[in-house]
Amino acid sequence: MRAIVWRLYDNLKTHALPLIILAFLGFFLLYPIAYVIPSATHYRETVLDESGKPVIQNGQPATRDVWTGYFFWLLLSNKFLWQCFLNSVLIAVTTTVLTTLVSLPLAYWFTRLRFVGQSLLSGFLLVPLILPPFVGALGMERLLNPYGTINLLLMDLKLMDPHQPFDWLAEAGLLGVIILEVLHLYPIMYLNVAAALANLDPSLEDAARNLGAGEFRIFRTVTFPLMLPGYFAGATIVFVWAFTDLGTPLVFNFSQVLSVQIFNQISEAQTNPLGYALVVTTMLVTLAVFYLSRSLVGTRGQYVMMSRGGVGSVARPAGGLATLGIYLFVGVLGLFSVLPHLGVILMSFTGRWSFTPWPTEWTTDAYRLVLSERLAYTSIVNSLWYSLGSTLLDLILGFSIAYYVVRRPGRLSALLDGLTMLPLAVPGLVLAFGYLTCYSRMSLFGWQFGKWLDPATNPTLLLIMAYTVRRLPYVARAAMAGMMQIAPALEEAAENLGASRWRMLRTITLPLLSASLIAGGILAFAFAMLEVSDSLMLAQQERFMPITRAIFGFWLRPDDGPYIASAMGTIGMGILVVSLLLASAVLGRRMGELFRA
Amino acid sequence: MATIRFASVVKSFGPTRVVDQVNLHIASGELFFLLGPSGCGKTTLLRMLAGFLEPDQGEIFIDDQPMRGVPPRLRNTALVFQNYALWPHRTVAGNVAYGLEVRKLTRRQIAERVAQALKLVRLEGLADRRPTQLSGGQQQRVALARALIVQPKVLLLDEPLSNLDARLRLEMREEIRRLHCETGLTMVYVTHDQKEAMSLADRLAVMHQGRIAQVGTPREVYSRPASRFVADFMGDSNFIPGTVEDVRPDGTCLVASRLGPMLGVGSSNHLKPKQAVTCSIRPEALVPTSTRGQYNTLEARVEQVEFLGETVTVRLRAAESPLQAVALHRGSQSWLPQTTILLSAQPEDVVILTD
Repeated sequence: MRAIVWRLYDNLKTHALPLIILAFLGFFLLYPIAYVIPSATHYRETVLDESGKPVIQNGQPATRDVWTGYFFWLLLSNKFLWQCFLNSVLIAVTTTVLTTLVSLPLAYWFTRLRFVGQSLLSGFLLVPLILPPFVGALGMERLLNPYGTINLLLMDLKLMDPHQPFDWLAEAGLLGVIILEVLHLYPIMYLNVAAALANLDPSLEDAARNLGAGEFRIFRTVTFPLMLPGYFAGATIVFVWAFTDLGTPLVFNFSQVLSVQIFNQISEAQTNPLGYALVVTTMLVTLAVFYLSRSLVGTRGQYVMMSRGGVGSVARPAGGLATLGIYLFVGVLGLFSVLPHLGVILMSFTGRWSFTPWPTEWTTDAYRLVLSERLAYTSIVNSLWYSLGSTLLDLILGFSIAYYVVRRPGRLSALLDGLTMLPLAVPGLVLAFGYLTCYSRMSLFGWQFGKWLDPATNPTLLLIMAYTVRRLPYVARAAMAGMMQIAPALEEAAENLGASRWRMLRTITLPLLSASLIAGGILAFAFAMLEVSDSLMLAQQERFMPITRAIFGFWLRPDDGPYIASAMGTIGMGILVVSLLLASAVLGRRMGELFRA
Repeated sequence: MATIRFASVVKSFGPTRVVDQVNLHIASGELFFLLGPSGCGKTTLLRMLAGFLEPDQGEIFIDDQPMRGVPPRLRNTALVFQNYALWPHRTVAGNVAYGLEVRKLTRRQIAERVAQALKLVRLEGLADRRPTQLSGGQQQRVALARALIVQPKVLLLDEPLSNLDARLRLEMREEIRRLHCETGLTMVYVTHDQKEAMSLADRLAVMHQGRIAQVGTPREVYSRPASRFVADFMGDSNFIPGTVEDVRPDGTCLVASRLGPMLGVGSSNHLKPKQAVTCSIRPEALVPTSTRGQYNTLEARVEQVEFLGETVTVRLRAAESPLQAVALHRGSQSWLPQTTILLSAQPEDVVILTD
């Protein structure tokens, strides 16, 4: 008996760390998801007697639980909801296809050719990442509304009748959302495909060339099949992102998509299971996509990892014409993708801008207002705190997970790894929806700790947890990539010379891992600052609002609202630019490895 | 200075037994080699000694202290890793000083002893370099200095020369021999290179499939291999199958083979008449002769003479079995290709193996 207790204690001691992390993820990731599923299939209904009157029990109408698949059936039979579902799928699929078409040639050129200004240009490609599409949509709206810059310019050129302006946004609708998603998400696809191409052993292509294959045949039979794992990794992220993005359709006022419908159901979450059903549907789709891409890739992913080597010698100088072509392509793409940003920046400095293509008066009033408006100022401070908190948590969790998964492979670490990566497949929307509803009535031995986790009273803890969980895969992945490059012998050498486990971690492992951790941390911070769906859904009171929620709030406010929103968007962009520059300075080429599933 | 003892040590990874009932005794101050092909369990044995792995069964003693449960950091066994495992974020001096920092010496003491250690391995003046700025041989010396500076009970070396080119390897062999003489440390050295082992070892253990195949001085193991595996692993050998005819009182043994009667020394004392055995003769023990003796005389046809510089290797064929002989290049004129030649070997150069 003593021996059993002793062994149990021993096991607990060695596995305490992963067990604690598993418990954390179980509580803040699995439980909210698991809570949503049964809620989608049952509702409470008033009990009626034979005459159709409510049965009164203890002075109140009696209720009972009804279990049903009705709401899923509703989704299929209700024309409107079905249309929403189709629209979401259409947006996701089209975005994925278009980003692929844009990224494939880009990645090929940037990994296989050498030309003047290459590194600068490749940095330029990442610009769209710095703005959440919904803030970009604010800028787009200004340029594209019936009396926006584009139309007014066209009217000046006598290409449009001033009395019958073309409403790009209303007409664009779905297309506008897609275009904005593509412009925002192609860098993620590009980073993935480029990383996959760069990791490919060039001698594999040379072998095909040596046997007489033409360049296109080589691409079709060798290069493309081998870069598929990298491609699918990126494509999955892009698909899930576009499928569940809430901010962009919201600003385009395009409500026939699942994400907006879920958003609209929040207020009825306690009584109407339809929201839950939509969330479950969304999650089923994303999980299916993940599973599909994993099974399509199969075991080839490991093969690419094995054949790494001799990288860097493949790039050949591009001719003058090719260089020109590349610049033209990147230039046009870049111009379109920075249009929203330009619009936002223009708006933020605008004093007077009506019925003219460009602002007629310039001012920094909006920025002064940001400082004086309580909502603007507190939201920036809030966001900084939330992001800082979640980044610290992410770093601690990510490092622990990476250390355990890389150094102690086994069933427990495989489980830990799988659970850590799960948030990539779980949309922020789903998690936020779960958070909204699952904790508020929790109690333990009469201690109502649920109220600390009720976003209606104080969303601080939940927002931090939501940011933490959602960005954990990126930090953990960065840490794991770094960890794998630290030979175990480096740690053993320290132990061998008498260092304790803690001293070894402090003097050897952490310093060697610092670059990866810093980069992962910066990204986690930046993306927490710009997290949209969690913020929009969880922050309900002004004093707890993060920056994105405040931007949305200002956007809806008449008069100076949009200008303040733009100024805040510009500030957000600034923070992100600095973060991403820092991260890529530390990480260099390995940056691409962070954005994959 | 310390003695080491392995007592019935067993270690398995999953279903495979990598170390199987190993018993070994290493004397204080000895330069002891664990020699064997890759996968024979020698590195596992070394890592158990350092404490990175625990034996499944059996016990390891350092200075008669049982080591079970003692973590690596408390064993004071300094290990020189195969790829040196130098920390890229620390300078040469920072790497070497690490063990002393752990032992909480004062800054002044550390600086003094680091300088001493770098002098010992002849790296004065490179203290502030990064490991990546050093050549392979220099990195090797840093790894040695880092291990030696903590004044370990035992110095462990895991294939320390396998990443160096041939010339540097010879140089570092000398270096290790010198360090062993100067420090008098007990050293356990793992390698698969039998030349390295033979040139350096006080004693060595040949390992095969997790077991110790033979322990002895390099000379003993080379000239009296205990099994066909050891004979083959410790250099080239001619193997001639036969059956025992007679075991003589002086320990020699007469064997009938297809190539004629052979007289040799038994590798074990349990030889019996009619037993199937293999005679092992080193190539350099086969010498041309003009007279046919009672035994150990082979008639062979010279097929090819390979020139290797100071020596030649002669490919021969006797009654359809291939043989080889090695001779000094000077005086090798007697080996003429496509001629038949008589060869003989001394009985003490013929080892009768039972497997």
